[in-house]
Amino acid sequence: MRLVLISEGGTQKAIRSKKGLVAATVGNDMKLSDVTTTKTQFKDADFWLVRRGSLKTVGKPVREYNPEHIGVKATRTDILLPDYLYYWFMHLHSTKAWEPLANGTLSLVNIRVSDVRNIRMSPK
Amino acid sequence: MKIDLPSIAEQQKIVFELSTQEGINQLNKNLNAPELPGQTEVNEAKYSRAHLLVKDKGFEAPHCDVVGAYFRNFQSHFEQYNTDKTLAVLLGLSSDRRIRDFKQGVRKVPYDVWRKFLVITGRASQEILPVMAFIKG
Repeated sequence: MRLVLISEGGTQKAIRSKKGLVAATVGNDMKLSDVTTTKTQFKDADFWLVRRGSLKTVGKPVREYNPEHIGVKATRTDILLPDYLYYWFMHLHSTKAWEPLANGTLSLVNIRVSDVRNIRMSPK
Repeated sequence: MKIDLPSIAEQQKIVFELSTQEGINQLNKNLNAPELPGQTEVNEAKYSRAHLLVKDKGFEAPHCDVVGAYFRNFQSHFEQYNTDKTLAVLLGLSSDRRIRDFKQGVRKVPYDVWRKFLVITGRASQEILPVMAFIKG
């Protein structure tokens, strides 16, 4: 299955390829929400991101389910490996990239599900 | 924030490298696990030690007395696994009934489950397989 990118004002549309219906992100880069299901209370996710915690822990990917954490499950496994995404979030957390986006007091902060869903993806 | 999304083959390569490094780090960390006292419920000299062997070197499922003693000893050390339900999750089992069955001798513990428990409790080392090639596809 081939992902087709067409420049057309940043909207999405479905196009039909020889092998079936392909979701094509049009114009801008894809977002994480185009290739994953991302939500809390998500037991069947591939892994979870700590949604609420200290500045040190928030955004950290973990393999253990917690309904409070943000579950991420790759839906487009033809273009995205779940473990690749897991390690990408590990890298993101280790570089403290969540800190500017975390809301709350110094001891207890949280990140938004929408911030995760809106992460841009750039196919190469 | 922006994720560069390379080809699946490139992603596989990156995952392999990072997961290998993660595994090495964990193996090193394992060497610093605490030493804790073993079970005192049963005299193990009276039971077969074949449950400590690998599958093709004469493994035999442990006697239920040994299973119960090992499990209860482990559960006494680790509060988070002091119920059969949480121990079942740790060992990758779907039901706490299995743990009860193993303890009572209703079922024999499968090799993979027992081996996992032996590794977690530092009684057996982990088998690391050599990668002979990266075969495409």
